[in-house]
Amino acid sequence: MKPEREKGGLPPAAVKDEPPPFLRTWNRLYAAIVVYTCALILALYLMTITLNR
Amino acid sequence: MHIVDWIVIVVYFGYVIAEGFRHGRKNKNLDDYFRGKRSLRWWAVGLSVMATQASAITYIGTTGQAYDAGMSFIQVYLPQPLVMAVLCMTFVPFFYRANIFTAYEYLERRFDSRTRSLTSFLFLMSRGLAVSLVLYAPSIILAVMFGWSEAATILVMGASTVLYTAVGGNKAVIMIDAKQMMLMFAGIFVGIALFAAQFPSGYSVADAVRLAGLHGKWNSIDLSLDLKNSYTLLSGMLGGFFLALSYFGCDQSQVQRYLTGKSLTESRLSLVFNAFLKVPMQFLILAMGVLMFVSYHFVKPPLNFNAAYQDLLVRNAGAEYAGLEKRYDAVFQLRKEAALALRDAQRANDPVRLDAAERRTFEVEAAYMEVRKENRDLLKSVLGSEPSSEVNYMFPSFLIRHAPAGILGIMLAVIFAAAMSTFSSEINSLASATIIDFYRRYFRTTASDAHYLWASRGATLFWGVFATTVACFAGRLGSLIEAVNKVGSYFYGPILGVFLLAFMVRRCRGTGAFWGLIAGEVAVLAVAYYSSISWLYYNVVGVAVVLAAGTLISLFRK
Repeated sequence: MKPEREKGGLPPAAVKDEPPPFLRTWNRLYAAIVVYTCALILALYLMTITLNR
Repeated sequence: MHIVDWIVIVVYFGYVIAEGFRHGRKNKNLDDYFRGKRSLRWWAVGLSVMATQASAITYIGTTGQAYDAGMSFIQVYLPQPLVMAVLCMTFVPFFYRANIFTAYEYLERRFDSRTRSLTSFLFLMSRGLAVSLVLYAPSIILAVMFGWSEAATILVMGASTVLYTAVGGNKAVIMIDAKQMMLMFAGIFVGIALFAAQFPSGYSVADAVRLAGLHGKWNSIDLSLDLKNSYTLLSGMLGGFFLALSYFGCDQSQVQRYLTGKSLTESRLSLVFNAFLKVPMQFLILAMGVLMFVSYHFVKPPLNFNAAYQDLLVRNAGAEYAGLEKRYDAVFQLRKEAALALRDAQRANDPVRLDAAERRTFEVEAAYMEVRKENRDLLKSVLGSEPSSEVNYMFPSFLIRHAPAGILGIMLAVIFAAAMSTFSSEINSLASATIIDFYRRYFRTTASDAHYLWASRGATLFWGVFATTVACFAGRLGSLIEAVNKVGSYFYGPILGVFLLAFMVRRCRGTGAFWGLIAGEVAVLAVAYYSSISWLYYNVVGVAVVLAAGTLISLFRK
């Protein structure tokens, strides 16, 4: 049996690149993640300056 | 411990071991054992990714860290959503389409076998060292609870996890991880409720938030540019970004999770799930530590969180320690009264009264810390050396003293789940790299499915025994969560650099990748030895040097 390394990867057709179940495209989903991260940082910063002494 | 607590723990252990055997019956070959036949759904993989990262160190060490130093550690986790997006765009489709078992297998196709072997070896070394710490952390609480030696508790934990992992394989690990992660989420809310239950009547969560704020515990974001400080937004977003990218993109313990996805979409969604949930989860765990700090204003914390230190002082400096305890009782009462007076002053909305109450809070806190310092000095004189940090004993100590029957059992099961979910994923991944990248690649290139299956179980057993043995000598390492990330930072940067060379520098060949990796590792060790910059930046150094050296070498060598 040949080692797996010589067989190579899957043919492109075998791996379907389907859209995500929400926001319709992956780029939109990644953009949502970026916006979410910025919102988190902002919220934590506001918490720091408001609640902390 | 109450009989109910024991029942909870026995049921938990029985369930995970039974699940391991149930899934293990279906394993017939390496694809079953290490990739679950690529049949897993996004939610199970996503929960397993989360559970693999969130070990008992997360619960014990992070909570204690927040008690001591506030929320600043959250900054290390802030880049993780961005890292998940990057992985979904790059690493996940690359690995999924490559149809590989280990991340390092890909490097042989792209470069050569020595690059693959060296990278896999660095993974085995870094993960092999770190996995023992994952087992050591919960042994602390168990040793205190049961009066066992730490070695005995490590053996109990290690043996049970090795059993269900070696028998069940990766699919068992993932499905059990998913349930363990749900238990961990429940444990966070139980923990928060436990701390809040210690507040006196009429003391609200808002009062607790204000008290914690007065002591600077809500220090989530630090905009300082000090490179020696590990907990700033800069170190988190820069150093933490590369640490997370290397960990989730190049560490087999995580890559092996999303290689089991039923489809490329399912694998991506498992990481998107983490992108949205990881930071809020860490926030809640840190917030537990801050609430513990507040609740210890109303229930007296032990002068020594580590019970072994307490016993040592009573035996060797009894009279002096008794005097210290008396003063500690008195100053604790003052601290409690000051906290309640502060609450009344805040509610009265009287600036003069509030100013006086705040000054009184700081005066009492200084007196309280002075007594704790004297205790520490006394301990040092008895030990003859610097005592180890008690950060990791704070949360377990609270549970032992204040968790009611049944709840204690649940929280213990949570800590077990946190440790075992990480430990199982890691020994399974160490086994996969050992078998796929070394055993099958060099020593036994052709054999039956049954042979490789049994070799894989043997490799899992080997790594489980190795990690368990090393854990017995883990000893003093300061804050455990820092120790785990520090060990990783020596290797993660260079390993990530090699994968970035593979994806981004088309001209780079095997020689450039191999020597670039070595140059990166040397650079990290040099920076660690000669400079005082935070360990979080080691990842950045490793990546930069590997990329630069690998590219340059490839330019000059056709």
